[in-house]
Amino acid sequence: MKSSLQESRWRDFDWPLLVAITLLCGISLLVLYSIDAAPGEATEWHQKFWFKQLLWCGIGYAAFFWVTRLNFQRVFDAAPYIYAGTLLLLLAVLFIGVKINGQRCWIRLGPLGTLQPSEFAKLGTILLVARILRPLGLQGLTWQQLALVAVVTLLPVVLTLQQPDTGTALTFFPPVLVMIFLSGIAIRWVVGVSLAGLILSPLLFVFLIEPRLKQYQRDRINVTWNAIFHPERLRDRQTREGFGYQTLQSMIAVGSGGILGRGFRGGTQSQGGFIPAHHSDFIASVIAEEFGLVGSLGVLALLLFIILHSANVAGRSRERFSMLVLAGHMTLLAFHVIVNFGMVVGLVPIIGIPLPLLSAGGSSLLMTLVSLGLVANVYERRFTN
Amino acid sequence: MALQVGIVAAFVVLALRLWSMQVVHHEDYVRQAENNRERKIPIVAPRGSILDRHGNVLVDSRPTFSLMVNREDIQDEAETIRILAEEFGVSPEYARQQLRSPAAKVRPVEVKSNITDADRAKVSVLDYEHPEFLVELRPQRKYPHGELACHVLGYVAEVSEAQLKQPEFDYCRPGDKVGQAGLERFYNRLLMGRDGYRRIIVDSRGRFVREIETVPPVPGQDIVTTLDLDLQRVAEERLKALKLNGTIAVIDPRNGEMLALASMPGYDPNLFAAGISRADYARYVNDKHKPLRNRAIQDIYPPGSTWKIIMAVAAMRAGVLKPTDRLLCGGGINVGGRHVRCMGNHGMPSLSTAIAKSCDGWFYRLGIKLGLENLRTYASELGAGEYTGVDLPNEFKGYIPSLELKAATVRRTMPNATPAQYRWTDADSVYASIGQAMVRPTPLQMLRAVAGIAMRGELHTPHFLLEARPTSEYPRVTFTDQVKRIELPDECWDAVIEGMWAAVNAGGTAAASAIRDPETGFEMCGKTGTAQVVSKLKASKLEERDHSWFVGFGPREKPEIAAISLVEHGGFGARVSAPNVRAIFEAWLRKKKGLPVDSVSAPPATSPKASLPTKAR
Repeated sequence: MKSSLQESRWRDFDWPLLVAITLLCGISLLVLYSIDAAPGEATEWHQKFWFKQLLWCGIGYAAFFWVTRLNFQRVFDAAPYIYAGTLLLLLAVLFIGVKINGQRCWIRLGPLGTLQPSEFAKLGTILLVARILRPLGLQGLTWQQLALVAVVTLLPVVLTLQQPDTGTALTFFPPVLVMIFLSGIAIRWVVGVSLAGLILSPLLFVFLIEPRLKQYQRDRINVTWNAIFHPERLRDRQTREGFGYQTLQSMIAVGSGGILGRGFRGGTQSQGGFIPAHHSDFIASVIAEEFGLVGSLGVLALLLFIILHSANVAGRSRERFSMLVLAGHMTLLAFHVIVNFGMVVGLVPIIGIPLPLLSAGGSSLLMTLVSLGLVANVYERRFTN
Repeated sequence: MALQVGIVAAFVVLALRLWSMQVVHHEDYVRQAENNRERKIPIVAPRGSILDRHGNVLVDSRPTFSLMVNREDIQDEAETIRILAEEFGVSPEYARQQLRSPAAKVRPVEVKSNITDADRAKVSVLDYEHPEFLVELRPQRKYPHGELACHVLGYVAEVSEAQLKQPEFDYCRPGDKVGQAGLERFYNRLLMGRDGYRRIIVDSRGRFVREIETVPPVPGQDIVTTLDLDLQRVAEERLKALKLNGTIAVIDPRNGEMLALASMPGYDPNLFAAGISRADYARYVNDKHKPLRNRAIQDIYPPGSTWKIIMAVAAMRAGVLKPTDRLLCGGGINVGGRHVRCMGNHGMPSLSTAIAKSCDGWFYRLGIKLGLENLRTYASELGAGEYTGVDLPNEFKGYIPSLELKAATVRRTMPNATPAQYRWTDADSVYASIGQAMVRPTPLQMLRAVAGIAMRGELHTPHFLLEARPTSEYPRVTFTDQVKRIELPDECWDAVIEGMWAAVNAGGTAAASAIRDPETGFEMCGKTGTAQVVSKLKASKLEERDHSWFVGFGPREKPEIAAISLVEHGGFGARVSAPNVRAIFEAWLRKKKGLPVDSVSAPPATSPKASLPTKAR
């Protein structure tokens, strides 16, 4: 070990993570710059997606480096306040939020665009749940802990459903479940619950969820079913111009990209504006169209690296709280990537969640960078403590 | 660990899916992407003009702008229909009907033709928000003479779904305007040309981005018809002045060229060109006078005494009559227990006299001698009950007597008939001999037969196509005339023609309509006909009055023109129809001499002077 503290800090810094993040942010800016040429987008340069994203990158990087230096104990202490703060924002958005497409998910934020409190609530929830789950008795988790976790998770879920944003609300569950399983739940419980879930979930879907779905949700599930098993059915007029439009256009973009892609600003689907939300939730379709199989697999590889790296760091963490936080964050990240990419290639119904680090949208970028800052934080301390 | 494995597995699934889409099915998606952003906008080919034989324009096309809607680019159909109604005055029902038509699936559909400059400006203002509205330059059919010769020219309208399935229109696409009647339909392929198109790139809202290529349309061929505008006018005015339904047709017996064909009442083809309203169309279809029907080829009538010419030739062909034979008139004949009268008592006239005086008794006896089989063989030979082969669509075949027809008639009128009553009787022969009972040719069949007889057995195919003018893309097209020869000794033709000459010029039934033209020595030959509609001697109501017929030709030797006039419920042939044909021939003579033919509007059955042109143009 070298002498100077300063020196050791930079030597132990999580360089691989920073490189991966920077590559993805760069790709994001490049792609956003590419589609800014498309008609119908904002014309002033300072309103363009790439410019706003660049501003958020700056804020995000600052936050990232700040978080890497934090003492994790202070994060632990602050967890309830962070959670309370994000919950307040979620409550506020229901009253002062702007309505876009019938959803009230955003708070206007001047030149930076909008803030999406539900993104921050995910982090707040993960932190507080990790704090609740940290104390581990000999008998494993207590019922009180589980009950508290349930309450802490359901509060932001219910508020998010009020916006309504079913897709985001769904993302709260996988990290919390993973964190519970990592808290030494007896293996018979894990197996039991998985088996019960396997048997019950079809019944649950048919008798409880399906009748409660809205027509558009049913249509989206239908479209996914067809996209997987009967792609030709997407082309009949009603589907093509109705609820199947986004999936079909996205699939056309991806498929027409080929191996090497159609080149920067060369995608007819992206440049013609055929895919709604191609800057945010469907940015993967632009990557696939303009940079082909090579580009999309490259992006997937970088994301997979970040996810596995986070898992790795979590596993090496010597302290339960940070381990749970990282595991929760890693699960959330993986869920976002898999579901978002699945949406774009027609394997998952459209539920409107962004692709981390790539989709335009400051809240998601900031939240992801802060979480990754925690990963780098723990990574740096892997030799100490 | 299990979690990491699960995540990697999910990524592998995503990668496989990407590989399947971007490598395996790549081509298919590229094609879909191309279809997405390419639009093919048709450029309608200008339809060929239709001219008369002297080059006068009968039909042409003029450029008009149409408001089109491209269904692919509609965001909200209700909104589009609302704008159409409020901004352009298109009725929502019509807009909806057009947008649901099969044509709308493949190309922009017309919702309003002949739009104004203001409408065009509105479209460009709406363009950004509503790229579904387009302005298309569409040549619109123009019939400068209105109803004139409408049944010959026909009209155009969008090809129907049912028509597209038929071989006649297999080369057309939904939304094409095609000929629906007359020459427009018969020669649609020549007139239509080939549409061009513009291939353009559009964005997701259908807004124009840039053009890939323009393929110009190939104009259709101009058609020169055999019609003579002046003669056509005279024919129509004669009929109009009578205020009765009927038809006049004029042919050049030497080659089958139709110089005029008028049918009353008529219709205005311009209404169809602009997209006829349901109300107008319903009015035409439900009109009891059937204005859409071309009476010369799409209606059948008892020919009355004009049939006697065909009887005479048929009998000589069958060998039951020699030109010198004299048969008894007897003032009528007793047949089937009844006495059937002749109009007079003509003694034992010759063939010529029997024709000139239209002696029924003479022809009753000839009919019995001829019999059913000979009548069928030799009347068909002259084209009665056979298609003339005219170059117009939907020609009727008509019919002549047959055992089947008799059986059908008996079955209809006498449900309890004995087998004997189904047999062909002498009484049937008697009625058939004077063009009554089961004889139902079309007027054009009668004209063709008489023109053939005037030519001493040379029957041509009546036709309207003189030529389709050649263009850089298409060759010249002419009509192929099928000539049919009927062999008879000269004396036989002499006798029939002598009879038709005498009917007009030697105190026969049409003596009042004789033409005396010392300059050319032109003499009209002809035969009158007064066909009973109901078997009543005194008809009170108009619908019960007889049909008035006259068929004629001239000059007697080397004929150059033949014409027929049929006036429904016009009464005596000599009083109404013979003057019609005479007026035609006089106009034709004046043209021949280089004199102008003024529009002649002669009231029926007036003195010959009134029908003569009075003043130079």
